[in-house]
Amino acid sequence: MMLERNLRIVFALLCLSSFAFGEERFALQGIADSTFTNRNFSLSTYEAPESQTLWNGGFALLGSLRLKDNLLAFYEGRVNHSEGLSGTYPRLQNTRTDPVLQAYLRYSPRLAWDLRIQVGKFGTPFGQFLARNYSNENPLIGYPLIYTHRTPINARYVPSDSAELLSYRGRGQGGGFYAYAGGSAWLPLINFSYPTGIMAFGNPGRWDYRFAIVNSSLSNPLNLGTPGQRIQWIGAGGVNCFPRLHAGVSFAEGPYLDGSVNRWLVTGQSINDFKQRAIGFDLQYALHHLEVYAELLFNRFDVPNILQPLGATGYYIEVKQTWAPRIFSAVRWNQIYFDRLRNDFPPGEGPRFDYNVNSLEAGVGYRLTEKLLSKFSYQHNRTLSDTVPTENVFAAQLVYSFDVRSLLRIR
Amino acid sequence: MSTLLEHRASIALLGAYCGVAALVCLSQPGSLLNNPRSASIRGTVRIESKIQSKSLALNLYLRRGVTPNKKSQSPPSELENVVLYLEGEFTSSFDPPEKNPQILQADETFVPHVLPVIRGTTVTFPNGDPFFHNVFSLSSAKSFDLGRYPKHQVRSIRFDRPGIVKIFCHIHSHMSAVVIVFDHPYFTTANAGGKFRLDNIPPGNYELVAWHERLKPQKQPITLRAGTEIQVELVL
Repeated sequence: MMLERNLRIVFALLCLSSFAFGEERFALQGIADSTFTNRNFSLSTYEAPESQTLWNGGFALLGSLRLKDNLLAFYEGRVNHSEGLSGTYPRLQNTRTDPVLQAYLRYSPRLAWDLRIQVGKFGTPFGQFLARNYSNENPLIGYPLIYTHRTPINARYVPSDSAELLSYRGRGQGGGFYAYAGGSAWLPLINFSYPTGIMAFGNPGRWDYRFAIVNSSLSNPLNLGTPGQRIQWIGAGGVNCFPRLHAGVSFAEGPYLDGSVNRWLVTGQSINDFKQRAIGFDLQYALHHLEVYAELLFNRFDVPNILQPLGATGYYIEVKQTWAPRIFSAVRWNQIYFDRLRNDFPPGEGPRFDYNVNSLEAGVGYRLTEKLLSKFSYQHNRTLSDTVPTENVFAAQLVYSFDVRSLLRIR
Repeated sequence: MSTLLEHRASIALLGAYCGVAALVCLSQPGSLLNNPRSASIRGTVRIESKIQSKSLALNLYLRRGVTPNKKSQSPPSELENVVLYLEGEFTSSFDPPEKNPQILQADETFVPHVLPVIRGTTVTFPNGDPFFHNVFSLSSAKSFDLGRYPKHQVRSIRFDRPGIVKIFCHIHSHMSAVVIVFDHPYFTTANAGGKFRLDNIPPGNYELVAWHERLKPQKQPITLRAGTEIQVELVL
């Protein structure tokens, strides 16, 4: 909290100084969105389907300030409010405020080769979707499954054995909602994580690289700053294979459990002994009005009291086609496969530690103006189990992105 | 002897140079010698109003595969973004230029930022950056999307209707440009010092307009007589 307050004060001072100097050093962008979602789901194949309608309003404020030619400050804050409009569950009322989601300094030393250094609170530099998660850049309304599907691995609780872990299958996602990733302790494979740390990166020629040391894991932003927690590290590299195709690889490794878990660990163990390791591959391709994005993730959690590492493989492929200046369509296909438990089971016959899941989202977008975008999508999520079978989501979203200074007539 | 020959050669060279210069001068639309029945306007434009600053690159994320190596560059003078044009009655029809003008995408900027063209002109958009760009517009005068394309590729679009066409890049939201389409050729842009010149204008009564995308346009009535050149000063 102290850190956030100090960062806010620093950024306010920077903004004021920029106005005082009256120079063109300051950019401030706002992205506001309003989303109506109708979700139809059934808790099991034997029960009548439920229906729930939800409204979600979000606002992101992004700023950058050029302090010197080679020194920039960046900021992002977000507010998100969800409200249940109808449904059999109690009406949802949830407001989430992240006044300082990101705040960092970026320094470019004048070297012969491309190196930049970033210090502060910033988005995890793993994969490619985090940079596209804004509603004005995401061609659909939902997110890829590897970022939203909640596994039975909990950051704040450890199973006593394999049987208990199996009893959690489907429970992580059972109470969740695919359209938005919340702050649940049931962990997805990758989360929208904004840890604090330091990153070196650059773009020499057709190559790019990133290396970061941060204080939070890929899957669990809740363990940010847990006392005694070892640092995490993330490395990534990429290459423009030819002008239209970029291929990248990312790797992350570090402890992911919350500090509160220490009380359940046997003497001599700590949360630092249980790590998440992830390796991801990503592709971007563009041809005329066609864009293709894909990510493949191999992830492994070390879980207390489970003798084998729990692996999961997930991927998505997203295709966007712009048909006319105002109209585009997009489709995203996702799958996640979970490892089978090996101990106490015959080879190849052990149950998977979570149910495999598929998801398909298809949508269209219509640009009303350069700044106002409307999107409509349908999402079908299928869990390969009898207990948590399907979810169908219809969603409509209106996105307004704007230059805050123009709107406020700041000169 | 050799000195005399060198002297004659120099005179011949000077004569040839003058001849070429005269031909070039005569072929220029701005030359009064070219058409003594036309008039010219020479002038200066100044910006005294405070201009709302342009959007800067936000670049919160350094994107893989589309990452810029930003070079520090001094911003161009806002006077170069001032378009001077005539409003009035023009009876002739005018052809677009033989050579297509271009708007280059370099260092995440459209260069030039403002391009006035005559109706029917095809503008090319080469990508000079080592990453993808997109060019699109939703303006009523011309709505188009050239898709995403990499370095060294060129896409083009023809502007058939008079009006203001605001151009953007989907990938880099801070990039913008303006193409102003006229149905006559009596327009120009000011130079960095605010000076401008319009030539070969048929005599008549007109309004000279100074336009800048973020300022109120200024109009000045003018009367042009054949074979004359008038001098004007405009303040935005």
